[in-house]
Amino acid sequence: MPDADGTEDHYVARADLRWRELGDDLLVFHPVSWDVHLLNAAAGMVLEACSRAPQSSPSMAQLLVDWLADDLRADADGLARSLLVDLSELGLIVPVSQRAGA
Amino acid sequence: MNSLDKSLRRRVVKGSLAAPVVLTVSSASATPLTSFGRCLRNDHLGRQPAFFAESAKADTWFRKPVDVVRLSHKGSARGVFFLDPKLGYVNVRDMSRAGFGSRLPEGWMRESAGKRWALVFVDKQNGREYRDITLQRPAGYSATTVSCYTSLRA
Repeated sequence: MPDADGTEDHYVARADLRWRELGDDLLVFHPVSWDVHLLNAAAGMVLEACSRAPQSSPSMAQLLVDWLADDLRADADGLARSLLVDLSELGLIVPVSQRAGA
Repeated sequence: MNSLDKSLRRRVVKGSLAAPVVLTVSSASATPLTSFGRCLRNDHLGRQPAFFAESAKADTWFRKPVDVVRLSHKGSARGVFFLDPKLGYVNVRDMSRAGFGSRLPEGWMRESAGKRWALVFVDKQNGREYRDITLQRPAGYSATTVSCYTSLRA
């Protein structure tokens, strides 16, 4: 999502998340909400990327282009935006300026 | 298990994944705190309950009892006030400030003491209760804090 000046917001994963692999999926425990979330492989890969370095919606889309099945690649931008909203609303990722749990 | 960098997820084959999906898993033991977490995300609804409530009108917001005093000025009742640590005496009915700090000016008197239930604000980033009960912004609480429906005890 662009800022007012047109630049893209960057997001990082909360540093205090706890997770465990479940097959190709990822179980993520949020220590503040006590919610447990199940992320499929694509969502888990994006969250993993956010734990390594800040990601924007376009960079998430690029990751998805690399990982998604052929018939989904054309939708990567929209899927990335939707995923960013989901992860952000659940508090799994935060804008770099508000990084929490570090 | 605290670093995704240590993940073994490299085995996933590129170009094979389904669209990303994020689900929230229910857990009976986590239900009370899960509802608390959900509450932390509900502030976008813009709900602003009364900051102070009388115990007889207890509601479902996260509150704790605070001391209040009934003040008078030269023998005339001026209402019930909460001594906010940052704002001084504040009328619990309309949030108007008395205009002085913790020391009462000449002519003002404490007539009696009592309790009111004040909203407890929680830091969204770490889930911790704010140290001071303070009105934040009486006309619109701070965007960085939120008080919640919760089953937690104050």
